[in-house]
Parts: sequence; structure tokens; C-alpha cells
Amino acid sequence: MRMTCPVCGERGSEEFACGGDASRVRPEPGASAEAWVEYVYMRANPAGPHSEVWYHHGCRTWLTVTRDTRTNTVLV
Amino acid sequence: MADAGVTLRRAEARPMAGVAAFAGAGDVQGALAQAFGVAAPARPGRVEGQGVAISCVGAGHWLVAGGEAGLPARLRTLLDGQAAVTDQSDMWDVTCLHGSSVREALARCVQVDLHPSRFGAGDVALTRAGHLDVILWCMADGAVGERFEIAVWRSYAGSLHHALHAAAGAFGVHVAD
Amino acid sequence: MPASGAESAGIEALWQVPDSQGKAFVDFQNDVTAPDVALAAREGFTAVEHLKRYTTLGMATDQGKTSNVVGLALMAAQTGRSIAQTGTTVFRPPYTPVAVGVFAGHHRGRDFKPTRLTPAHAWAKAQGAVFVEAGEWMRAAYFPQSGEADWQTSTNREVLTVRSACGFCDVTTLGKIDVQGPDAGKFLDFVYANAMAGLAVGRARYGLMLREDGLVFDDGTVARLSPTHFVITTTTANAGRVLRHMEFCRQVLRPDLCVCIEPVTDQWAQFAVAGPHARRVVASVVDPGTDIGNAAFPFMAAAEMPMLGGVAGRLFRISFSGEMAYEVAVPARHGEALAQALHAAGAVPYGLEALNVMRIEKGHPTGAELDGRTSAADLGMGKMLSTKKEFIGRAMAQRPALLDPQRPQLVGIKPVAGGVALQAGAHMVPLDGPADAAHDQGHVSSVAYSATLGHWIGLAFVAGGSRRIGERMRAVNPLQGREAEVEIVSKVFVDPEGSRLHG
Repeated sequence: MRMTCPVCGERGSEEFACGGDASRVRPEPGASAEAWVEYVYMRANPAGPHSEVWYHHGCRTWLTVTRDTRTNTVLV
Repeated sequence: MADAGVTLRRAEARPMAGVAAFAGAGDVQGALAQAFGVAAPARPGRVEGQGVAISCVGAGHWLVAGGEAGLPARLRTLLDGQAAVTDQSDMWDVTCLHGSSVREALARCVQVDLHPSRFGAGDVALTRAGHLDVILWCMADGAVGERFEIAVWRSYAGSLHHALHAAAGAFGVHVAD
Repeated sequence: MPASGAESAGIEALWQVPDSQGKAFVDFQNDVTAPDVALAAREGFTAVEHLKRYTTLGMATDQGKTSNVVGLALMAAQTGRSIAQTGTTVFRPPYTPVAVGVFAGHHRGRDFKPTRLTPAHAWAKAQGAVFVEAGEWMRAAYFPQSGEADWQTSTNREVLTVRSACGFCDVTTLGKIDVQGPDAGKFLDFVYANAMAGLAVGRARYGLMLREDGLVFDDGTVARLSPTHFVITTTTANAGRVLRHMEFCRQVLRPDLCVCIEPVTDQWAQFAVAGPHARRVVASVVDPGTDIGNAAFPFMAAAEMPMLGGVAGRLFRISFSGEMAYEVAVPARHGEALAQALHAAGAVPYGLEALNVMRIEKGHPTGAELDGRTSAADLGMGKMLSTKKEFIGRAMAQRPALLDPQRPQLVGIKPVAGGVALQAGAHMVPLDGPADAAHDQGHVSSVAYSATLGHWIGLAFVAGGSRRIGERMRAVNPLQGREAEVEIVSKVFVDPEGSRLHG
């Protein structure tokens, strides 16, 4: 599995760490308990394209990629 | 060891400083260009000017090396309010490599493509070698031919040297002073 | 040629011994039995791929090579089909045995897990230090002197030396992150649970980081060197994770803040210098002209200053041991020289064992307490959570279950009878009644023999513990059949008023 770091270019997955679902938005202070539970714990588990944040150790960049969870193909 | 395929030499200590631009706060590349007469690259790469080497090591992030001992302080004054400057003169262990098999040997321990068409003089890779985060430079050719430098955090120096020896062992290794 | 009799070909398959009373195993790796296959048939999982998934028949590392034929024959018998009609499942490589080492290749031992050495490693080795792995780092555990029989003897001497004179300890391994920018204070306010933006220049403060789920992530110190420049420390174990987390906060959660962060752990060699004589020792390495006395450089002061004859160092008046203490930092190339200078000034080197004893004597948490399950309140730090700012973990830390006063809370324990040793990992149960899961009220997280007090001490998480000081319980280790009667006490065993810190 290879990903493209916006700074370093295409690299093997060994150089990255996954930070999970990129579509999550941190609730505003004072948001409901339900909103926080949704943000902190609840995750979709799609079979197919999934938008994720990944950390490139080399240049310390957090990037967003869309990965097909069935094939590990990086789509974007 | 005339038949050694790879020669390793620990680089002498040199002033080094990290420069991280504050987003939207001035023109760090412009200030560096004015001070050193070269354009700091925006993507991983290395340029030399007035005795210092400027390497891009991240988004808005450079490693400046060489020159006078006061380099970090000079950069701090130069880039006041525009960038975070950190003294990294003691942070890195840098090894210089050359030899007829240097590319082949390095390819055994770093994960990036080292074909000359993909990684040539002036290129910089922030990658991994022997399970370590490293910075790899392809230097301009010298009297010894192709030259590379590889840097790792100082505490990891023993582990990196072990990995380099393991990778280069089959080609014959000479450790130079 | 004699003809063979017909009876010699009368071979019948014996897939299962009929009327056997014992268990009839089919898959020896996954413990699938003949009744399991029959149950699968009754439940309708008669297709071989269903049989496999329902019972795990053939899913072990042998991929069914020792079990599938029997299992499929039993299913055939259950369904009145032949084995061929029942079919076979797909089995996966390796088809032939492969040594695990072939997969591992070069990535073994030291080649898989790097080793980190501090700048004063060679010096410590020359002093006879015994090293211990701490994550990737090699750290000095203790410094045996001639005539000392074991590590406990050396550790006791090191502890008593710090408490009565002066010792120094290599703390280079703590993660160090440089935080700079006009919004650096705001950024640290967001990352830490307690307030940071108001920290005065030249001062340091303990910092507590939560995870977004409200539990404790890491701790360390935050020092402010200028209005736009902070230096923070992380625990040794979490240095990489904290950096990644802070980059996530900076790049993804708070791109509105103008701040840069840089890991600088390896730039610095850092030593804790602790004990009643610490000021005299530190004064001998700091260049003349810098006042480090109580008035000019009080407890929790922090500053850049020249030392070792013109080296730009950093001095922090922080203490993990509970003694008057400093942490002295110099660029790494001077680390060995600093160790030599501190030693020459009369400070005695101490290792990780003595450091651990003294932090338990002071009730300071480390990895055994920050185990990913504890809240700030569990550690007695609930009041540190700021109510005046937003920070990572603030919302979830207020969940009712995390505020339950019956949660396990950190307390000190000491054995009721003198001379009794305590064990980490023991369970805390009431004096009367059985020692079982139903009566479990917590566990012992850290123990040490306190040379200062002359008996064993421990830190334990006990349900509602902060309101149970003085109560007696049992610390039970059912694995070894050992138990000790203990008294719940304050987790600060030595100098609870903190008067020694101010020297």
C-alpha cells in the first residue's frame, strides 16, 4: 500500500500512521454529550471508499487520503 | 581498503538550525534568499549558498546547516516574528557515504526509490532506514564520485551505523576518519 | 499366485469411535469436536465453508491438514452424502512449513527495535552503571559500588544520599518539544488540561494532558522562556505519541493558531540534581554571575543561562524526588562534561531504581499509574482541570461515570506489620471475606522499599480511596498465594508539606 504525502510524494505505508476517519469534526465547546460520544467513539466501518487522516513520520504532515477498505487502493 | 564498495565517514559537527515558518507571518523564503543568496526549496531538496546548506524538511520547514557557530542566533534575529528557530547543532548524527556500490547499499536499507533518475544531486528524502526516521541527502558529485549523507537523531547513531554496515557489508565497507 | 480373500478388502472407514464416553476431537488445534460438527449440521451449516466458519474447523495454522478429512467425513455422515459430495474448503499458504525467521528476515532483535543512548552513556558505563531498557532507551538502573551485594543495597544508598546530601540522574530520555509562536500559549491551553497561557516568563509548571475521551494521556513540565517560546517535556515512553498528537491538534484541529512545534529531545543532555546540597553543586557548573538562590531562582523557576564556561544551557528548578532540585540541560555534546562536573562537585549518580523509589515516596504517578484507564480525579488531580478554557478531553472528562466518587482513587499503602514486602499487581480486598473478583476493590500499581522510612510502601487504586485513609485492607496476590495486611495512607509519604522543595 502506497500513499502520496503532499510534501514528500509517494511513499510506502510503513512511513505512515493512520489517524482514522477524516470526516469527523470536533464538536464546539458546550456541545451535547451525544455529539461528543459520536465524535470520540462512533465509527462507520464502510466496505469501500473511506476518507482518512494519516501521519507521515518523515515530515510530520497530517494528510487526508481516500482509501478503498476492500483493496487498500488509495483513490485520492 | 581500495576494494571497499562503500566508504562511511562520520561528518564533523556543524551548526544546524531548524526553521519553521509561522503561517501567514512574513516571507521566510524571501528572508533566507536575501541572507544567503539562494532560494530555499519549497519541497524536500537542498541548496547551498554563502557557506550554508538549506534543506526543506517539511511544509514551511527547513534545516539550515554550516557556517559560523552563531548560526541559530543569526537566524533568530533574521526571522524574528516570521519563523520558529531551534538550535539543532547537537541533535543530529550525520554520516557521509560514497563508493562504487553506495546506491546499491543504501537501497538495501532505505525505502525510497534511489534510481538516479528519481534521486539525484540536491534531492532530500525524509524516510526510514533500519526502522529509524532519517534524512537522506544526495550530494553533488565530488572527487570520490557520488556522495550521500544520512542524518538520524543523535541517540540512534549506533543503531543507524549498525544498519548501514549490515546493508553495505556485502559490498565491502571502509570506515574513514 | 494365491488369490486374496474377499474379506481382506473389507476395510471400513472409522471416522469416530462409536459410543465413546470421552471427548472426540476433530481439530486438535482449534478444539473442534465431533459433537460440534453434528451441531453445525443441526443448525443448517452443512455446506463446508459454513461448517468451517461455524466451528473454526481447519482455520488454525495447519489449515485443516490434520483435521479436515475427518471433519468433512463426519459432516458427510450427518447429511447422508459422500465426502466428495460434501466438498472441501479452500486452504491457504503456506502449503509447506516455513520458518517464521524467513518472514522476519533481517528485522530481528536490535535490527527491529533500535537502541537509544544518552550523551553520558559511556560515562555512566565507566562508573559501573547497570543499565535497563526503558522503551528504546538504555538507562542506568543503579550504580553499584564495591561491597554492595545487590541492586537493593545500591538503590538504598542512592536514595539516602539524595535525601541527605546530593545526587544526580540522567533525565535526557524525557521527550522535549519546543513550542514557539504568537499563539503558543493558546495552543498549550488547548493541549493541556490545566492553564498555560498565563504562565509567567521564567517559570515552569506541571502539565497534565488528557485524551479526547477524558482520561489521562501524559504529563510533564511546561517552561516559558519568552512570551512566544515554551519548552515542554513528555514522559520517556510517550514522546513520539505526544508529538504526533500535538501535530494533529496543530494541523487538523486548530489550524487557526499561529504556532510551530519541534521535537528537540536529542539536542539536549539533561540531568536532575537533587538533595539538600543541590544548590551548591549546581552553582559550581553555572557560570559566575548567575544567581540561582531562592530569591532569584525560586521553586519552579526556568531560565537560559551560561554554564560549563560559556555553554548556553538551561536551568529548571523542578523536582521529581521531593528534594530541593534542579534540572540542568546543556547541548548534547557537553553532556558527558556536565556529568563529570556534577560528579566532581560531590553529587552522587543515581539511577532509575532510586528515581522510582523517591517518586513513590512522593506519590508522583508514572506509567504504572497513567495506564490509560485513570482520570485526573483518580490521581487526585481533578482540581487541575481548568473550567475557564476549552481543552482536549474537557467535555468527556465530565461524564458522570468518570466523576463517580466510588471510582478507584490513588492512595498510599503501607504494611501493618514491619518488614513485610508489598507486591505490585496485588488486588485490594477488605480484611474480612473472600479474596475474589466480587470483592475486588482495586489494585496495587507501584511498590518500593523506602530506605527513607525503613519499610515497604506502595501506591494503589482503591474504590473511593481518598475517603478511606486509615482503613485497613488486604493486598492479595492469588497467583503466588501471598497477601499482606495494609493500611491506607496519604500517597505522599515523605515531606507532605513540601518544605524540602524550597530548601
